[in-house]
Amino acid sequence: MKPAPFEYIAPESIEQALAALAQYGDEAKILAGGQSLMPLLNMRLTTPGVVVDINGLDELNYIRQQGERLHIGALTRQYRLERDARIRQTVPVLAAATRLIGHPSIRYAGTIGGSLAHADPAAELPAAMCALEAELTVVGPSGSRAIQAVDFFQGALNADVRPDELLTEVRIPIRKNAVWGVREYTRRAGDFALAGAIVLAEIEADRWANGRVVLFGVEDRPLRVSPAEAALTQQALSDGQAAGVAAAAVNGLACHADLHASAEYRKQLARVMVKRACLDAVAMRDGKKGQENMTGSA
Amino acid sequence: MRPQRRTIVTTEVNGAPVEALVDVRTTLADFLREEVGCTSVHLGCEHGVCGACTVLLNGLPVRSCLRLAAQAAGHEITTLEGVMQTERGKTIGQVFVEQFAMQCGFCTAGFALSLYHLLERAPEPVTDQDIHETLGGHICRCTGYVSIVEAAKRLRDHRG
Amino acid sequence: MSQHSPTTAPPSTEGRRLFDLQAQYIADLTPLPNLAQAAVVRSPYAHARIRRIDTRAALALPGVISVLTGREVQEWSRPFAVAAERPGRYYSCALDKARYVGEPVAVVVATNRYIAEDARDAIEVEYEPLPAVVDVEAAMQPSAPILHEELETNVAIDRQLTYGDVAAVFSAADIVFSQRYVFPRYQSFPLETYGIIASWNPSASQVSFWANFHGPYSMLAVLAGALRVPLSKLRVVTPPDVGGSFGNKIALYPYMALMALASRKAGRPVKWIEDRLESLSASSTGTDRVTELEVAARGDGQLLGLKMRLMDNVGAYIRAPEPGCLFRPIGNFMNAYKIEHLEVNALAVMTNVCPSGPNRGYACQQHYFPIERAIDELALKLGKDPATVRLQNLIQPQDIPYRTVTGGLYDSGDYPRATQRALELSQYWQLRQSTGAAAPSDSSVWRGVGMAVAIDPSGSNMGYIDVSKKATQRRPNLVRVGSAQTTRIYLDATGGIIVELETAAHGQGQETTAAFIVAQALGIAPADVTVIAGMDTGSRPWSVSSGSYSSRFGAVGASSIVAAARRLQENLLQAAAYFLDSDASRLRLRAGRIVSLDDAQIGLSLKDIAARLHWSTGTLPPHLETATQVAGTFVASALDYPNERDQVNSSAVYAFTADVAVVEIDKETLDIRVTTYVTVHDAGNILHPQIARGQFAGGLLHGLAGALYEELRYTETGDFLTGTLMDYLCPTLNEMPGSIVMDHIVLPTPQALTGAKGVGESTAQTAPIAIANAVADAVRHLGLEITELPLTPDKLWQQLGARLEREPAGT
Ligand SMILES: Cc1cc2nc3c(=O)[nH]c(=O)nc-3n(C[C@H](O)[C@H](O)[C@H](O)COP(=O)(O)OP(=O)(O)OC[C@H]3O[C@@H](n4cnc5c(N)ncnc54)[C@H](O)[C@@H]3O)c2cc1C
Ligand code: FES
Ligand code: FES
Repeated sequence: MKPAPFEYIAPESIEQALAALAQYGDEAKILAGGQSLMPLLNMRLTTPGVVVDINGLDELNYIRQQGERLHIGALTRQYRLERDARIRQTVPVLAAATRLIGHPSIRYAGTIGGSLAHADPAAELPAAMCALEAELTVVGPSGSRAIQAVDFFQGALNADVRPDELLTEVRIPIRKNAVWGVREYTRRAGDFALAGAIVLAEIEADRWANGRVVLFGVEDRPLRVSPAEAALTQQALSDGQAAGVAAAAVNGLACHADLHASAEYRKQLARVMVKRACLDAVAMRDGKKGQENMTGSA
Repeated sequence: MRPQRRTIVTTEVNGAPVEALVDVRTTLADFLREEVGCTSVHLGCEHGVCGACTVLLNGLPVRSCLRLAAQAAGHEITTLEGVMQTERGKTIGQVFVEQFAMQCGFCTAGFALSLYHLLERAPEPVTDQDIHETLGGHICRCTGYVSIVEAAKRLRDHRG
Repeated sequence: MSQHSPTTAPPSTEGRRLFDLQAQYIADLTPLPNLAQAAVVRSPYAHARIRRIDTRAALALPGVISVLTGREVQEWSRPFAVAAERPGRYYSCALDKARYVGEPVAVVVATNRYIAEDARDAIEVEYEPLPAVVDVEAAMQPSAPILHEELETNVAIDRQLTYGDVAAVFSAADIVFSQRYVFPRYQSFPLETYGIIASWNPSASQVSFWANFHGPYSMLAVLAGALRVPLSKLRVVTPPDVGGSFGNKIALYPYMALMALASRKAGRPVKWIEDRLESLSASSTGTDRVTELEVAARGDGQLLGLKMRLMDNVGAYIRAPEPGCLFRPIGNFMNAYKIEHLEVNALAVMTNVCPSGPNRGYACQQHYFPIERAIDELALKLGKDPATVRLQNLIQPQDIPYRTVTGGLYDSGDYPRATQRALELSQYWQLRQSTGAAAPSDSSVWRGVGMAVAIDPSGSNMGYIDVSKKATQRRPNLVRVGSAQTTRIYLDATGGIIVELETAAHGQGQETTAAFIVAQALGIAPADVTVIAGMDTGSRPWSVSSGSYSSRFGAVGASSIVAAARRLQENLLQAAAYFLDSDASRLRLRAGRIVSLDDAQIGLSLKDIAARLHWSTGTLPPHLETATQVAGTFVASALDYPNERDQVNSSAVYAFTADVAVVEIDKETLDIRVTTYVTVHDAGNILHPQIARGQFAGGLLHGLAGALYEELRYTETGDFLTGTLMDYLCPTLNEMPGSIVMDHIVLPTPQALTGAKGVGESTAQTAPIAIANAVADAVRHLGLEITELPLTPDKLWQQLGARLEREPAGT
């Protein structure tokens, strides 16, 4: 189980990286943390002609606050997202979602950009970006583009980043008084979710505003479900209404089926995850659960 | 700058400089085993799930099957061979041996390295949950994990 | 036999070697110069005719040495022998037809593995896909695709066995019921995969192997036969460290044949390390089985008789040690119950999946699952508690030794006591008040408690295999009776002790245990005993029984260590008597010294005796000339050969396990968690407490895997679905029961010098059942029946989903 032959280049700047991508186009594959790409290479499920290793691009490794936004460089390792004090303060839901990725040693290597560009439908970070209404920056030969997270994910393992482009940054709006919940169900701790949900809202004078409900692992991409968001925002949420939000979230949902979950069971999981994430958010509002205690699993 | 099929890797493994010409597709795990002679690095799956190939990269535990040797340039790599030169490493070995925290031993180096990293975190407290999260990233087929967790807790409790 | 269960014992020798960075696994070895690396071309089809293999592109790649295909395999080898009425012709490689996904089709040899895999991918094989069948019952239908055309059927074995008067008890019974049970296909999953270094030496017609093969060494006879070399020309070295097996690596020998032929073709030694994808799809797996079970009982719960139809899916080829899954538990077919009437229809059926073989708890997992599930059902039908029905039917201590109707000799034990202990430790009776329908309805989980008991057989000579043939067809000139194991001990010139095992351990801590046993016998420190690990048939004597399998070490292997240690002890006394001019009966061995009972001043240290025995050989009387070298052989003599009524004592000793599992099922996600697991063993004397405990815990993980997580799955047409560890879910620490209680009672067996029974397979046999019974208890009031494993949330949903959608809050 060894990779097929390829050539290797390790650019030292974004320009060099783009030049390499421009030159080798479809033949090239970007290597970031390698936690998704390397298994595919080892199994020869992907056989690129050139591997462009971007780990030398230190300029893409950062977390900064710029006004009301948090800017995160694509090469920032996942473990930093879960530990970084600023993230825990300003967008704690991101830290909580990140903790659900694989195992510690996966997160020491994996990058935020790699997870987003890989666009696994069951991955946490794409869902978190949709929930946080992040904007993604992609640079290519003709300059840079800004893409809303919900538009970036176009299908299973299919993100809006062309072979000659590089995802460089995500920008996350910071919103005050947020309450949230992240839940997912896995058979084994650390596995990809069979279904997961992120619920997020802001408390404005006793009202829930800007509610967001995102499902992951259920269809071919993370899914913002507007009827559920409407239900979430309509009134001050109570325990009983969480079930209503959950029902709205899965109404008409056509989940995919795989080895571990039939479509119907997956739908049930999605419903339960939304409900539990809502209840976490309610508990947070009521001060019953501190943000630090949110582990989020099942 | 041109893509290469072979490259010279200059790196540091267990504190000693290493320089070797490798095919760029060589995984770090194969490089450590075949070129450097670190046979404590075991391959249980070669797709990132089992943790048997864990090494410390600049002190952080990572899967060496999910990394290219070419990427090692400029980094410090530590395997069980290196960790056993430290006091903490020796203590881990001692406690594992006393607790029978291994049977066939194929998974053991991976567990030991992840645990080493966790214990290095002092003075931050190490909770049971930390232990479960850290060891949960490794597969052992023999022990049922019971003795490994016991060893980990003993090490945590006696951490200097 | 005195009771023995030490509270302190030496630390792990094997572990020490590992942390001293001296471990040697097969992948670490380069024992020969010029070693080339192999990669195997495998069939992507479940069933396909091989039309053409074009190796030109592969051979043109720089670094590629040779390609072996079925053509040479057919020319250079013979099919492997197996005990079946209708075996398919099984070679190490597909010849004209591939019969499962992953079957070897060719072997590439190159200067390194990367290039070998490049060449593997460059080989063009033209296949003509054929209809495939993977389901055991479907494969028995007349319309099913036939795997081996010359047999005109997929049924390799169809045996009818009858014990007692089944018709009579079934007609006299108050209650008779039947049920169909399905035991899944899952794998031993050792963390280290197969590894082989093979070197074909053409002029000596000799072949050498370095391989993580651990026996039984009787398989080497099968291998030599296939390779057409005399057994004495086959050398097999097993490295000191082997990364687990649990039965899996017994099936290494066909790959040893393949690599020997690849080496022959390449003209150089060849190394092959299997990767995980190959291991999952094409090494060996446990046998999946469908059982139709009929139970006859009295109204008071007394079991009267069983009828079982066992349908084993042995995969594309029936490969030795199969059909062991049908016959290994023959002596203990009735588990721990006093049942005297049994009818068995044993079928081995070939389908388009990977060949099967032993998996921890070989055959007992498959066999006890239906019986122990049915006992719960019986209890329920009679309004009794399953524990009560078990206790009522267990063989009583006063009946032991007990000869089962199928020929087993239960040597020792107190089954009710061990069972009671498990019930006590788990607080079973209290739990019963709050599980199943009795659980509080406002809880977010359903709760269940379940139990299982198991006779745990260990030590065998595989004589039972011949039950696959009718009595009239057995070879009267070769009856397998007994099973021997030999250990050698040497006293070096300085008083050091060297112990040489022929057991090829793979994680059982045998070096630690052997040193402990010898040290105790000689009154010295375990650290002063050196145990030579690994195995080498080229330099160490061995027998067909050598190796580690069927939990054999505690009873058989370790007994040969005791025998050898006793012999050395006797030699030392004789030598001291000679040197001291004293009577051996007046001497004793104490703390590494021989001392006189008559005068405490008179004595000799081990070191002194050793020096004289080595240096003063010219002065020694004949009986002391070889006193420094002893061989102790232990024969498990109770093992016998099937008689004309198909009765056989299939195992040397029989341990016992009683387990209780408590599960909680999330009412919304249907997630199943084992919250508490209690396992109580009667393994006889305990040789090393921590090692025994480690085996119990490891067995629990193994059983839990089969109960809830692991299954090798295929589509109906034979495509393999669980090819990676993302899909084949080996449990991690976080899936283990929240609370694990392990305990044992000590009833030594008179059948072994150690008094020890098996510990290796133990909980792997009971855990799938105890967990299934607990889940059944939790969900029975919802109308669910549990008849197959693994139990997954998705499967529960298939049965419960509609109801949960109606009552979403959960009831
Ligand atoms: C055992 C295991 C368990 C895991 N569990 C989870 C889990 O539960 N949840 C989860 O979400 N993930 C999981 N992962 C995957 C992990 O999160 C990966 O780190 C992540 O999916 C990819 O990030 P990476 O940096 O490793 O990217 P790589 O693997 O290097 O790259 C992934 C893909 O993205 C492309 N790419 C990378 N960076 C960029 C960029 N800047 N611009 C454009 N394209 C780019 C690459 O070309 C490649 O196609 C698991 C992995 C393993 C091995
Ligand atoms: S071998 Fe690297 S994680 Fe299994
Ligand atoms: S000790 Fe064998 S896999 Fe862990």
